[in-house]
Amino acid sequence: MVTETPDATPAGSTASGEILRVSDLTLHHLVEDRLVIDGAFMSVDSGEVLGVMGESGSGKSALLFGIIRLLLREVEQRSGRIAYRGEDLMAKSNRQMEQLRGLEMAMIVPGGKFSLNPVETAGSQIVDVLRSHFPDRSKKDLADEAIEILRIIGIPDPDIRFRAYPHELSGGMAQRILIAKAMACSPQLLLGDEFTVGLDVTIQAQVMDHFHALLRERNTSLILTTSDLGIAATYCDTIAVIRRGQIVEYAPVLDFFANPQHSYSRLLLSAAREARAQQKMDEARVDVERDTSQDRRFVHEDLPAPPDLYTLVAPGHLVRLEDE
Amino acid sequence: MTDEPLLQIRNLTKTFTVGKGQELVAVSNVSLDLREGETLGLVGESGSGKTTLGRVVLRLTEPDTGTVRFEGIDLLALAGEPMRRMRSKMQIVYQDPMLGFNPRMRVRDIISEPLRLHETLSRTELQKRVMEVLELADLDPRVLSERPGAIRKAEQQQVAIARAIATGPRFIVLDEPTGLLDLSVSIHIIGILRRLQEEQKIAYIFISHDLSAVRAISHRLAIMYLGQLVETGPIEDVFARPTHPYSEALLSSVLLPDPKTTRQRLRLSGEIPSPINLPPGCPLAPRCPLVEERCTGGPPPLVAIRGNGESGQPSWWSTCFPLSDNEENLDNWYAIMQEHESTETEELRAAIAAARTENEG
Amino acid sequence: MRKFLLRRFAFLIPQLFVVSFLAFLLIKLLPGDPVLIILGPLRTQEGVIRETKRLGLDKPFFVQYGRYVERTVQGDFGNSIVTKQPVIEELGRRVPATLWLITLGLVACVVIGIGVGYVAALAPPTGWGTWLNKSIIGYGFLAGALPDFWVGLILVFIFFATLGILPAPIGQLPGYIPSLLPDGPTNIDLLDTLIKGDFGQAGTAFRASIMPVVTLAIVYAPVVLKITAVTTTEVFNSQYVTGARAVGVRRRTITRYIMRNALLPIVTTSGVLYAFLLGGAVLVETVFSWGGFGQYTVDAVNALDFNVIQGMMLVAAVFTIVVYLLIDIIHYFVDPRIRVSTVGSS
Repeated sequence: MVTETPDATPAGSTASGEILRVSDLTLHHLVEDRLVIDGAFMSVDSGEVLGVMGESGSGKSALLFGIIRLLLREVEQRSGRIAYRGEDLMAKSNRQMEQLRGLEMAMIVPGGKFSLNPVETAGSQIVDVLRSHFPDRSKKDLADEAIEILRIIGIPDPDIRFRAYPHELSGGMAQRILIAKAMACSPQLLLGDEFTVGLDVTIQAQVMDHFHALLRERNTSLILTTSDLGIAATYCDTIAVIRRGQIVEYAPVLDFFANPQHSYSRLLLSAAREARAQQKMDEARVDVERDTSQDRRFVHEDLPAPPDLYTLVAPGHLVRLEDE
Repeated sequence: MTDEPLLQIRNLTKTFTVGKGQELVAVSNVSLDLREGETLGLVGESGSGKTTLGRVVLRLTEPDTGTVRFEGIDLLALAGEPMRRMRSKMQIVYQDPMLGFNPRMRVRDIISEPLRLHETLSRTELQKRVMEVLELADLDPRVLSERPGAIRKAEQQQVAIARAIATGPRFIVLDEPTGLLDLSVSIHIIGILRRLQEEQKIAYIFISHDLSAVRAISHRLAIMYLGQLVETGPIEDVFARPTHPYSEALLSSVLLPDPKTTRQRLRLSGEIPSPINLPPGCPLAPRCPLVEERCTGGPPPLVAIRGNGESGQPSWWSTCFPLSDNEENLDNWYAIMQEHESTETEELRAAIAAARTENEG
Repeated sequence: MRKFLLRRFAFLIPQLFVVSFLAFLLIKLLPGDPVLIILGPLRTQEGVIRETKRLGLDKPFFVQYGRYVERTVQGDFGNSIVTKQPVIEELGRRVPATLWLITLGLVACVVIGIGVGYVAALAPPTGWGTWLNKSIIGYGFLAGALPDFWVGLILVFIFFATLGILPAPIGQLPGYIPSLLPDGPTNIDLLDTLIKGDFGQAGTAFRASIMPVVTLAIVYAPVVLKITAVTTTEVFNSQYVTGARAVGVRRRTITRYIMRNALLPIVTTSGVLYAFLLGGAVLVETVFSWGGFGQYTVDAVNALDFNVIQGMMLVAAVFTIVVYLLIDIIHYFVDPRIRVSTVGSS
């Protein structure tokens, strides 16, 4: 059964332990001769959702590809340590990384049906992921499990969708298949690259709510890139703001929204505050105080950031020194 | 301002035939007014027909039935030269401005092209007019000698705006003009559009699925679902107290940029159905949590939420069967809708509980 | 699926009609009067009238066309003006020879093109990958500039004239005068000798086909190679392959994804190349005295041998139509997007 992950702890319990630690990650684009990622760092605990916020071109998706070690051919890694559960990923061979991807960490890519192999059915593509890691299991067994995964991801009529080709799926449905592919082997760390961009708001809410509930249930960690402050505020525990390849601020989500320090973070949040002020006037809306008692569990006291570039302003809240 | 609206759309319908006996009603019986200097925000999800409506209004696509009156003139009755002259008063700006540009032309020629088509100006007059619109669109003159592919996305959109206003139009359809832009840039573009409107009294139809952008620029809001208008009213009123279940579902789906609060949402079941060969009745019926038997029977009634406008249309209206029973007591209606709402925290608990039971079972 | 095949096959009928009509029309539009050519310079006025009547050339255009279709359907392509032999018999000998040559040539092109193109597309951007890609670009330019007959002659010079390890460029079965050629069911000497069990002759026939096939491969493999390299690179960098790699799909499966998606443009290009080679290999046929279709066509055009030209056009057109039909069928099986949807989308 897919849902029985050995490490799953009931949601809400303060399960933790660092699962990923990245320090001094620098990626260099050979053709454009610039740093795509410049000295990035992070620490992610089990069950934590880290939101990497930045605008287009900030390097946020390159960061994810750097962590999962699938770089474009024009990009080379200049420096950096990536430790997954204490194991050094940089020391792993390509073959070992291929095994690790899917089983331990997997990426949810955006693009809906354009990110699915157009000539094979949705179901067979999930089976492909499973078979890559469990080559000895029977075809029938894997197909059954794939259908089960589709059901867990919240896809109605999973056995019909199993046989559907990507072009027969709606955008929301195709995106759920991509989530299913990433979650097929129950990896402990997911990397989500702006995967709800382009979905309509009602569908986005449906997909994200269900996905978020699954993460909590399985105590799975997620690093999610986004440029949407609503997504960051609603689903993330920790926020890292990235601009021109550099992390400019890193903070627990409550602290970040209440007390942004870097001028760039403030700029991003000013628009949100304006929108929020307007929304406060929406009388028909019942906005409920969220239970934030759990949120303190992801405060990182020992972030691997160079002390000469970052200032600690509160527990787990780092700000990069500004150039000016 | 005169009594007659600048643009009067009545019972507009556009059907596409797709394959054998398959009909896609992209725009179904839509009526709207647009006044001088006013912005109508047109929202709806993919397949709602908002883009087709924008095109039909400009006669870039011919409607099947209905009328469009612009400055009191029946647009659909015009042909040839009179229609061509009319086009200088109505423009469109697309989501991806590059689609409307010849990539080989320089920005200067792109902006002046409509002027050369619609007006006879001397070289210096032309140059003067280009510089004027350049300033209105907040563009640096250095871009004039560039090709459109060489400038930034935001600047491309500004060029598209400059080109659209070159002939001094009274009405522009803005089809997701900020759809491809980052937040900070999109705020800048909206600022330009608002200032232009104040100075030039241009009317906009602003099509978007970015609800905060729509709220920032529009005076009135029109919400479309599967080709039909489900609710139209003053922007702040509709945002604050939407009456149609779809409006409520859409507006409550917007995620709050505030980690401390969570929102009650009206949740629709399933996905937007295919717009081909729709059954009669309310288009939302298959997904609506408040659905009743009569909702699938025939077209839902038009419920006036607030008074009649000058041209006979209520200024705020909605189309919904259950709502029509509560026309006199809207508070009751809001209470009914709220009973069906939940927060994402509640949803999360329910989902986790469901997953547990499945695990154990 | 059956419906698609039926529809596609039904479409062949109007296609053939159009083609036959064009073949007929073009001949009518050619300058020169067949009667004058048949009768030669020592003709009389009465002879011309009689011959015109005999050939039915005095009848209205559409009556002539009707008779032409009727004859063609019965397999009667008329007689060659030059050899007085039935065209159909001549075609029966010539067409298999050429088909054999260009099929082997195409297979060589496809094997080399896909193999090298695939490796080149996925090669690392450093070291041997750079070297390989640069050589391919250089080779592409070179092969595009080299005339095929020249390549053939160079091969003949090296392997026959200098080294003497391959037979002389004198047909499919060197060392036999045409009238003694083995008469077999396929009219392809290598196959016929094999069927007869004459392995000595078969060996000669095999060795004789090496040089022409290699010539075709050298000149035309870059066509397949280039499209393979381009589409493979494209598919490899596509969102769906990146997406599959990012969730840990194993290499073997990634290769299958790439192959299946890159296959369609490669099949289309190869098909077009195949159709082109039918007439395009004429100089290679000439260099190796292959006695094939291309050579025969050139002779017929030179002699204004109308019936032969008409027959050739028909054969070439039918061949092209069949090749394109095969491409369509392959597309149908590989790409679900052209199939009618069987599963609802919502």
